[in-house]
Amino acid sequence: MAITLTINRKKVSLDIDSNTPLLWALRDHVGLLGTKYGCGIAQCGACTVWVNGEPMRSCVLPISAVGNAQITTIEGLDPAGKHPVQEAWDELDVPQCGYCQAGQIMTAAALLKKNPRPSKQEIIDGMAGNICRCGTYHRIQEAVALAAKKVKK
Amino acid sequence: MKYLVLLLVSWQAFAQSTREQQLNYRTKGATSELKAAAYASKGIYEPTQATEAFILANAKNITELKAFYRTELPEATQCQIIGLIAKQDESILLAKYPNSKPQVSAFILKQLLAKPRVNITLRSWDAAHQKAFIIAVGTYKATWALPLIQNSNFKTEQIIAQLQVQGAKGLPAVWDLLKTNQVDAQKIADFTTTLAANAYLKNQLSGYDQASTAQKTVLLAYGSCRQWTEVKSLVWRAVQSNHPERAAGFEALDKWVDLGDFDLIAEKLSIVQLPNEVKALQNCMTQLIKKDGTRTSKITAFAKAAKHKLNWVPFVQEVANLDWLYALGKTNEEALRAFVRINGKAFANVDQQVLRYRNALSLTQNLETREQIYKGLVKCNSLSAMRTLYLGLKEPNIKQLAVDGLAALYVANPEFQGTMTKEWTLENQWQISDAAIRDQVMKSNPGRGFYTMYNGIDLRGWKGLVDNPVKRRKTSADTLAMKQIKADSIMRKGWLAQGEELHFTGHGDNLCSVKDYQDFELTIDWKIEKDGDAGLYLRGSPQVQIWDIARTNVGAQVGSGGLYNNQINPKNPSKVADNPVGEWNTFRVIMRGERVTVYLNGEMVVDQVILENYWDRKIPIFIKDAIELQAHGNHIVYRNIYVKELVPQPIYQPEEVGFEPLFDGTSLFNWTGNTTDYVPVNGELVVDPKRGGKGNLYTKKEYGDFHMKFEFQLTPGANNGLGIRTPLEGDAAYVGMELQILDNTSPMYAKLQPYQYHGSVYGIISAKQGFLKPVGEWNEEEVIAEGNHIKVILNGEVITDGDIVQAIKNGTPDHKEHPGLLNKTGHIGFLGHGSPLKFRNLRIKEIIKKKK
Repeated sequence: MAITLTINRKKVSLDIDSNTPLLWALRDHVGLLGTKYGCGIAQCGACTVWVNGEPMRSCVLPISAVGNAQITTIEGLDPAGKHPVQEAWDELDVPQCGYCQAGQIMTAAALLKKNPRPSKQEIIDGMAGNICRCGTYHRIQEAVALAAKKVKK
Repeated sequence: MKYLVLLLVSWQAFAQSTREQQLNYRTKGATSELKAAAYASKGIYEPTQATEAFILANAKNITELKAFYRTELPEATQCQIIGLIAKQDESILLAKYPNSKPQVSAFILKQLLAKPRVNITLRSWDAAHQKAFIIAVGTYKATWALPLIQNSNFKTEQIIAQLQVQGAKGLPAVWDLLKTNQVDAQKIADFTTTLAANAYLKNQLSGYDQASTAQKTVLLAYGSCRQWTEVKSLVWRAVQSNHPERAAGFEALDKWVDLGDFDLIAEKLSIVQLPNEVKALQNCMTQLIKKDGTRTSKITAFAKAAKHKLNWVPFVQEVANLDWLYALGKTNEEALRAFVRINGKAFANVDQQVLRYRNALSLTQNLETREQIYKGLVKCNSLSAMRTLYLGLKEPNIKQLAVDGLAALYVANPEFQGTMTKEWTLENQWQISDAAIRDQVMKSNPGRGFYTMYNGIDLRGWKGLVDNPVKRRKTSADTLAMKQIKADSIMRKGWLAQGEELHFTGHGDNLCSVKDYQDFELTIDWKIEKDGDAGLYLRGSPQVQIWDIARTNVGAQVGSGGLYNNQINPKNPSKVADNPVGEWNTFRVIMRGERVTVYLNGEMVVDQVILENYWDRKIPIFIKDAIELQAHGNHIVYRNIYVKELVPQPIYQPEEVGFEPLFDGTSLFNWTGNTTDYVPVNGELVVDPKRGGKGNLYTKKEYGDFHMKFEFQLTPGANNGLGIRTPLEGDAAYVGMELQILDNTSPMYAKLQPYQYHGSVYGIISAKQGFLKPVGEWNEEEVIAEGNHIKVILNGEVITDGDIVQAIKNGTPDHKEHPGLLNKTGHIGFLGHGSPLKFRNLRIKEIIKKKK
């Protein structure tokens, strides 16, 4: 079945089954490999992308449910890779193995869009759905706080 | 001091020489002195860092480096040396690889695989080095090395490496390799999942039935991720089968479950045993609970009935019915932790919550579980929780938690603040993390508060039992002292102090507090054995009952906590709240005046019931006497015995000459009838019709002519009445006389007749209206009944003044029979009509007729 998705502001036409989770449309068919496959059951957050600006778990979201929505992946967050969250990530050298980081960054950026000045607890709560098996949580929290400062400027 | 200076000087000298030496080594280059020091250090860290300096000094001198290299050096140092040598001589990589340790292997492989090499013979290496090489081929995408790893003994790693190098294009080449059973199919499938191989694998799916287990595993994993509709039934088929692909089915199942599968998943989870299947079904259950979090009681039901209950432990959320989990927890740490976790929500009954935590503590020495328990206790507003945290101070890894927890509980619970808890809290005052809280604790100025009746060491504060309070009061001091010595020696045989616990062996008499108590609040934990029987004596009198509720032959099924020896007032507890025999129970007993309230395990089982005097039923309970732990011939254990003395209620004594109190502010001993709804509170007689009593409250004594004074406070629409010259049975308004007590300002009484107003002789003599104070204020009333003349004075105004014989000479105004109107004498009573109100300062003077 042919379906047209708007991914990172570009229209992409795909001829695949409408049950296909968005994650695999992105990885297998569009070739965007930044979004990661973690648990496949929406528990870990590695596959987080934005659908109309809302962070969603792409591994359980069938493309049939996406429709005309704007999809933003880690590749489309900032054309130059200079989103304040990405810069904060870079400055604080957040990732260890890095697998979960695309999801972490997408969640963090969405959090700051809604709440540009989150408290420490709001950061912890907001990031709680994204798991990092290296345990870099303290740096993730610092980076979100730093990014918030950058966004303010 | 002298030594300290010496020590300081010598340390500085040492530090300086070390620093200098280090600088020397770093700056002077490759000296023979450095070489000797480097060789001497054998790579082990030493402060001059000679090895480091030696390697740097010889960074380009590979002859020296080769000579210095040895496998005894730390792995990082070996890597450093090999790296330096390889810059000039790459053959070192292959030469050192076969015998390298893991960290060195990894270092070498990265460089080795950076470009094509010849002379590599995989099979000449040991298994670990072969395997590491194959994995590295994939990691570094070394296409040139692929031919080297074909036909290896490590098929799984080989296949994955090939797929890593070639991507989906490599799949056709390895597909046949998946026919062997010598691969870790799930591992390969998990990797394959990340490839974009839709076309190839969809094609293979049509041959699913003929595929090998490993091939099926790949197809199920891949197709499940992508939600290929046709894979769903294949996954379920695999799960239901006993074929080798069953494991792959379980692995993929969580991608397919939806709420309709709840029962099916639940049934499977209850019976599976294989770790991978348990894990897979637990993943499914996690999914389902996320989709619908309202099925908690269903989950509890499944869990309790499951063949393998432990499988369910992570999902149990319900606070009710924790017994099964506790039973599991006795032998399984995971279940115990779940028990502790769920108990953390059981704040509705803090006493039980703390008992469960303490039970859990007695079951485990696991540090993590214990920490979890103490973290829970910190949130329990309970004296027992504070005591448990105090005990936790002795556990090194709990101490900080306990110090802060005690301080937080102290500050949050003024009712537990006292000398004892303040001492507990400040025992480690400088470790309290929050300075503000520490300050608050230090500045608090509590009274004595709860103090312990049992010191944990011996029986100080306790004495043996001598006779009973009535006899004791008649015995001379000398005789009493003699008897006390004998009683104390018996006590020491029967009662044993064992740390936190006070044991009664089953032989001897009651254990009595040395101090006499009047009004008090007591908390005590107790534990009985099968057929156990015991009790608490209050003011030297039996008793708050403790017994094994299985003893139905003596009526024990009613539960513990009742005032067992009551005859007039309720003797049974209002509900059964006992924990099973052999488990701890918590009593909270409050005695004010003659009334006792008992909480058993957090449930109120006795609600302000009058404790009758067992030793002499003609008198009320003693004003003060000992608290006793009853001896009843069987083993019983107590702990946490804390008492707080309450300020006794004031005893009312009228100022007017000739008047006696009808109610002394504390006791209803001179009254009979509904002593349930009429309760002394702070010197007032409070009517609370919701307490479940029945009927009126009457004086035991009869009064004929009298002058009575009292105060009353109404609530909106309140209705009561003062019965006079009435018998104990029947409607006092007719079989005696009722002087109305009523908020007749309420609109609900707009249609009343004047002979029904406040102060009227009900149905007979009307009263003046308008002299009641606003509802909520106290009114003063006087009643003078002298022969047929009845006079009522309300707030200083005579509102009723008449002769009952004259009032009925044309028949009763209300046209009803009043057979008791002309009674010469009778009881005085309060005739409740279901309204809350209060009385106080009830006093009376009998009028003795003067003979003319």
